[in-house]
Amino acid sequence: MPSHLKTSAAAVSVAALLLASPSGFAQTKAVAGATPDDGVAQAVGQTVSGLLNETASVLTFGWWDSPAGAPAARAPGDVDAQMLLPGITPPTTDQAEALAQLVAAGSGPVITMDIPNYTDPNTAVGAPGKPGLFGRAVDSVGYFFSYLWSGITSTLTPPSPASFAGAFETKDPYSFWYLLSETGYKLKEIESDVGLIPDVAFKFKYVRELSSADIAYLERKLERHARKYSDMLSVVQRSIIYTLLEINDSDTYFVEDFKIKLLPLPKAQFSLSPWESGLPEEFDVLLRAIQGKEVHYRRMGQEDLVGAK
Amino acid sequence: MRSAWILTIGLIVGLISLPGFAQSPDPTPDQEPVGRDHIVILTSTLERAFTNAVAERVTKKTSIPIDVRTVLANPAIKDFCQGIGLEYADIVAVPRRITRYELKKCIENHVLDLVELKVGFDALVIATKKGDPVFNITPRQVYYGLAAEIPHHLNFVPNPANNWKDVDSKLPDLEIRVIGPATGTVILNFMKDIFMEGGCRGLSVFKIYYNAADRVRQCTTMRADGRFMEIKAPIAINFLEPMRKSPRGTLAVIPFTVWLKHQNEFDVLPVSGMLPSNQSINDDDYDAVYPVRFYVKRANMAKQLGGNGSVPGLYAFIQEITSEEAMGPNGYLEQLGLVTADPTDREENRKAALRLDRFSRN
Repeated sequence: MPSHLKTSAAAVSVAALLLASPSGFAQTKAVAGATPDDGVAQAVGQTVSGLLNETASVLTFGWWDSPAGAPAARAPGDVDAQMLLPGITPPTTDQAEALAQLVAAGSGPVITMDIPNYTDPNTAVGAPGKPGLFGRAVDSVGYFFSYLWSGITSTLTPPSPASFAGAFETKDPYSFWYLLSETGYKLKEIESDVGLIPDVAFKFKYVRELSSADIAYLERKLERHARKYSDMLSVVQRSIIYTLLEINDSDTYFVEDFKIKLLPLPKAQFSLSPWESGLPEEFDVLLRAIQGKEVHYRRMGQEDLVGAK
Repeated sequence: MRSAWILTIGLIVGLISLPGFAQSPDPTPDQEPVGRDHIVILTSTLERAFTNAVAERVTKKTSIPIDVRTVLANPAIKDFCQGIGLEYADIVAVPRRITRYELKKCIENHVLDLVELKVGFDALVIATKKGDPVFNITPRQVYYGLAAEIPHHLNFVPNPANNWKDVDSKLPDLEIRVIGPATGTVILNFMKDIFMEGGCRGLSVFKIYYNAADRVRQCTTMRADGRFMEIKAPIAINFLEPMRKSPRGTLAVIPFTVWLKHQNEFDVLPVSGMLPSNQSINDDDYDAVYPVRFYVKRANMAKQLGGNGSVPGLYAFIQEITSEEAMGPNGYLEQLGLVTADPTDREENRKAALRLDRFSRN
C-alpha cells in the first residue's frame, strides 16, 4: 500500500478509535489544547466543530507542509503530525508525485472537495506558498474525514449545557427563558446524556406562585410576543407557557416541575402535583429549623430573665 | 340514491341555517316571544358609562328595557357565570378578559357559549395640575413612593420617602402627594396591579416569596401617613376639588377618560417613557392599559341563534355596541373616553361578534 494511503487509513483508524473509546476525546482535547496559537488550526477550528476536527486540522497542516518540505517555516505553536500520532509519517516528495499521477489518471480513491478559503496560504501562518496538487489532494481527503467526523460527533455529542448558561441570565423580556421565569419557574437542573441518542434536558421548578396581576401581565406580554414573533418555535414556546398558566390556574393541580428536552426531539414534560399537598421536604426542614431556633431563643430569653432576677 | 341526495342537500341546508355558519345571523330572530322581557347587564364602575350609553340606544331602537346593575368586576363575573336562564345576567361588562379559571367555572355551570365583545381600551393616567412639573415616572418609582413598607437589605422598613427625590435622584424635588381611587374600587385594584405589583415585580427581595398572597399584600399595601389620599367614588367627579386645592406637585391617578374631560386643567405624566394617547394605548405601548370587554351569554339568546330564547334583544345589543357609531372613531363611546381599536381589529372584532364566535382562552 502506498504510504499516502496508509496515512489516510491511519487517520480513519484514529477516528474509529476515538469513536469507540470515550477516553479518546480527552486525548484529542489535550491535542487541541496544544495548538492554541496556530493560525491555521484556529481558522479551521472556526469552521468545523468537534474535537477531532482540530486534530484533523493539525494532521492536514502536517500534510500541507510535507510536499513543500518546509516544516521550519511554521509558527512556534505548531505541532507536527508525527509528534502527535506516532507512526504516521508525512508523505515524501516521491509519494506526492505518485499521488499526483494517480489523480491525473483519475484512478485513485481521491475524493475531491473545494478547499475553503481558510486554507488560503497567504493568510495561513507559516504557510509555505500555494499548495501543489498533492497538497490539495491530501487536504481533500483530510477534510473529507474531518467533515465526516464532524457529522458523527455532532450527532452523538449534545451541546454543552454550559453553552446554555448565558441564555438563562438573559434580560430580553421576550425570550422564552425570561417568560418562564415570569411564569414562576426557575431552572433547577440541566441533564446531559452522551450516547447513540444524545440528550439535553432542562428541569424547571415552580418557585413562585402567580397573583392575578402577574397572570394578567404575563398574558399581555404573550399577546405582545405573538404580535412580534409568529414563527413556529415562538408558537410552541407560547403554548408551553399557556399550558403552564392553564394548569396552574386550576384549583386542584399545578405543575410543580417540568422538563424541556431538546434532543433527540424537542418536547416538554409536565409533572402535576395537587395544590393541597403538604409542604415540600426542603420547606418542611426549614420550617422545623426555624421553629427549633425560636424555641431555643425563647429558652435563652427566659434564662436571661431568671438570671436578671 | 335519490334519498341519499335529498339527505345530503338537507344536511347542507341545515348546516347553512345554523348560526355562526352564515356571515351573520338574521338580526330579527331574537325578537321572538320570551321568558324575560328585559336584558340584565352587570357592569363594573369603569364600564358603566359605556354600558349605559349603549343600553339607552338599544332600548330606543327595540323598546326592550335594559336593567344595568353596577357590581365590582370579580363578583360580576362570578355572578354572570352562575348559570343560564332567567335568573342570571345576560351580559357582563368588565375591564379585563375572563380568566381561564373563570371560564372553567362558567362551563361547569353550563354557561358554555360566551360571545366576547372587544369594544376598545381605557387606561389609568397620572395627572398633575397644569404648570406643575411634568416628569417621567415608572411603576417602580410609584411603588417606592407609595408603599407602606419598602425593601431594605432583604428586609422591610416603613417607607421613609417624603419627597420624590428620596425615591430617585432623577425625580424632581417635590413632596410625595398622590390622590387616588378609594379602597374596593376596580380602579384602585387596577392601580395596585399596574403600579404597585408592577413596581415590585422583579425585585430580588420578592423572589424569595413563594406565596402570591403574601407578596401581593407586601407590594400593594399603601402608605397611610397621608401621602396617598383616597378619593370617594366616583373619582371622576370627586377628584376635582381636592386636586384644585392641593399643593404644587400633587399627582392624581385617574382613568384616561376622566383626564380627557379635564385636559385643559391637568397634564399627564409619561409612564415608563410613554405618554398616554389613543395611539399608545391602542398599540399597547402604554403600560397602564385595560381592555373594555363585554361578554354575552348565547344560551339566553333566541333559539335561532343557538340559545333557549329566554331573553330578547341580545343580538341587537351586539349589533349596536359593535357598530362604527358606537366603537368607531368619533363614535359615542369615544366621546365618553373609549380608546378605539384600529380599523382592522375593529372589523375583525365586529365580524367575530356578529358571527357569535364562541369565546375561548386557547
